[in-house]
Amino acid sequence: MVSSDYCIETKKLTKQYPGTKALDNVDFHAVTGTVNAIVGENGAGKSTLMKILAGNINASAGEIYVQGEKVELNNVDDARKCGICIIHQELNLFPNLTVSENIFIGKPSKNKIIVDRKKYIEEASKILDKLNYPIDPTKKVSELKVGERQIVEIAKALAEEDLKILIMDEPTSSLSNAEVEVLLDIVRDLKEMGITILYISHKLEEVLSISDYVTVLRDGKLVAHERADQINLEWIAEKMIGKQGQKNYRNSDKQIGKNILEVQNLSLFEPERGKILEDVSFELKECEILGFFGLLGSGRTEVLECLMGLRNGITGNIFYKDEIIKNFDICDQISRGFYMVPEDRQGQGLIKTRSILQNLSLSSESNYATAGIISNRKREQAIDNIIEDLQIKIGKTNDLIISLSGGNQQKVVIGKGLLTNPSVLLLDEPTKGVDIGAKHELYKIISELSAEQKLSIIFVSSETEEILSVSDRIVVLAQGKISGVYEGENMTKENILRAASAK
Amino acid sequence: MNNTNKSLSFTKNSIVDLIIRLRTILVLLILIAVFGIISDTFFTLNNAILVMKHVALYSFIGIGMTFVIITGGIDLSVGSIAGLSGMIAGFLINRGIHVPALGGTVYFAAPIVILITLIVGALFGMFNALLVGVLKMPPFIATLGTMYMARGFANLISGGLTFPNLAGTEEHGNKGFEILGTGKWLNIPVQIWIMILMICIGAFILNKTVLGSHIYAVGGNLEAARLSGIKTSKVLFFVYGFSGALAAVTGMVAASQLVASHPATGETWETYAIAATVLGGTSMSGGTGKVGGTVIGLFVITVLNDGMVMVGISEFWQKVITGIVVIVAVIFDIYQQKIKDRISLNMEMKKEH
Repeated sequence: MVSSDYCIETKKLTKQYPGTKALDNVDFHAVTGTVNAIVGENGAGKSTLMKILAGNINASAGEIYVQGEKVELNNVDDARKCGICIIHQELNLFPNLTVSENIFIGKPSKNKIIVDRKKYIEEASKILDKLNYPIDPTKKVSELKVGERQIVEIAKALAEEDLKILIMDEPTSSLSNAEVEVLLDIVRDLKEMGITILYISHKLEEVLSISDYVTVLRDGKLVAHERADQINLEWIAEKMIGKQGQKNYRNSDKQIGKNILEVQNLSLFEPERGKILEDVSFELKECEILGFFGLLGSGRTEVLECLMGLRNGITGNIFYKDEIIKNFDICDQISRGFYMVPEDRQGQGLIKTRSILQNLSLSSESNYATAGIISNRKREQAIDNIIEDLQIKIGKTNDLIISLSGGNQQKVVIGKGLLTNPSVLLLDEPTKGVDIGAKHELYKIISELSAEQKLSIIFVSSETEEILSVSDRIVVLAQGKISGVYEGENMTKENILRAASAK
Repeated sequence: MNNTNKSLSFTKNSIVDLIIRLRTILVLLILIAVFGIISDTFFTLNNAILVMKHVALYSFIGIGMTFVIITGGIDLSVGSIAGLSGMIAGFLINRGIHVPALGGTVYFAAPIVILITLIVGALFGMFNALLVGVLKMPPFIATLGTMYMARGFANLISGGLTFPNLAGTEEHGNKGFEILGTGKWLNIPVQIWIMILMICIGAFILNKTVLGSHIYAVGGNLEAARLSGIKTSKVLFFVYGFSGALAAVTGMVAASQLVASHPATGETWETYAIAATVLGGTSMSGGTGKVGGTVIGLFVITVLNDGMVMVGISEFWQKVITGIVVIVAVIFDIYQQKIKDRISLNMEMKKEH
């Protein structure tokens, strides 16, 4: 039985990607004319669910009902016909066109050949008036602020003849506080008009204030669905993270040695972006796990890239084992004992067309070769050892790398680095996009590497929980500068969050 | 019950997988069967050797193209480099190099001529690598430019004329060049032996060496290769240089066959190389591919062309049909990936249930 109170409902919706399930038998529903927040950690499946409902991607299994009727959403057009519209996080407007042109672009018009600008402008102002927010429909979108562009996106959705469901993917992530207020007012107006809103956001307070229902996703599963007035922030946080919660992976027995790496006044300047790093100074000790915390764009990745010789235009001094190093490229750094595991696993870490074995051995191949010819025996031995050490779950070493789950793919990238016998390992968001179980395995591995294999590790993360549970010391970056260094009892969530938002 | 189901669907999948993998060979066998039935002379030793000789001529640029396409690039200049190489060899044999200090003209022995020509071909290829790897030009445009340049040089060497009689003379001590294209060893033409040698070298580099592994890595994900410590521009210098040298081999074999070199030799030959590579299952987006596949692809194209000549299909229709075969192969290539993905996803879903 399907209740037609539900404007939209999914049954056993599943999306399978090679190696991972992005959605796992999700039964989701939303009551007509309500605001429904969907929350969850990165990679929980929120965006996948929304993209399926908007027809951007197709589900592998499961059913979707709109107002009690089963529908097939094979493409954006199908979804549009069912009255479903999505506003993506990165807005899809044409900055070179005017507001009214943007609102009506792609809409069927009676006169298919000649554009009736006057009528567009008239109708655009009608819609914009409904939103109680004055925007001149003849203005070019490039002249608008981000908040206003968001409103144009909403107007574009409203211009659909029969809009029933509006999906908003993190609409407030790039808005100022005043703009957020305006947007939330508009959301309330839309609700008055009887439109069902699906609202994805990371800002939990905002979620509680605006929504009628809250749905929590975790690792592709729907783990909770509740009326917003029945719950609080703690409830959401607990559901999002799950019972596993925080665990300490710090190894307090290990001996942290003397400085292996010292960075003094590192600055990075790029002509088009200006100063990216400014006077960054820190040291890394033997066997130490140094956490690097900061918001997006704070310069964490750039510090690692400078250390690997991937950036031009750096000033300052870098000492490695008490000797100054300069004019190096990435190959020099790898042979010196540095290795970086990049943030974008798919884009920068893996060769997708190659096997597990070929990926693992990529950086260390010359170790198994005589005169450039690879000895398979030597190579397989090394690979087997590292697979066992890191407990990488694989079928055969000749399987394609993409047959592995995200967590195991990440272990392969780390293993590739370890096979070069590094003494400094730079990990850039190593747990991004891996499921919660694999995350904890990775924490354990990282901790063991520093304690048992005497590796010095820089661990970049934007998740407070994990950085606090793994690091021996934490450096916080804000806008290209170091805004705090914390150790021992000073390593608290409050301290690092405050430092990260320092101006 | 459940178990039998699983194993059944598994074998079905592996048969589909096998057919997908061996598709080009299947097409080749079908073509051979069809022409064998239609034409009486198709199944003769002479014809087999003729087909092999044709394949051999293009196999060198085909192998080079496979290397280049595996890195995610393309090399449009190989046909022109082949033409240029024939002209260089012809010039060295017919005219020699005038060195006033030695009071006359120096002629080189045939092996030296071959070596010089190979080096010029490789240098031309490395010029491509300079444009692509260092100056970051799109390979299509860079090699389009060098394609014109090499063709221009080929004409400039002789003023557009043919160099006749590349057999050399006793007096100049430069006889023997014609062996490349007309000689035989164990009753099999020399150029077929060279092809076999080059296939072995190509396959060995790709499968057994550090360099080969780096070639695949560069094409599979340039950024990941760089971050793994691979000197990506060095890899490109080798690959384009190798392609240039192999183009020189094709050019010399062609000139040697006719015992003459003409500056227009090799026009549009790059298209055969590209078509064969694609037919052989090398993806244009890079990161995958095999030398053996390309050679089978060349056999398909050559059997098709030679077979159509034998059964009397007009030259114009031959072109149309060759074009259709290439397009169908690429369409199949795109869909086979989707079919494979679907199979593996289905298997994964089943495993979990």
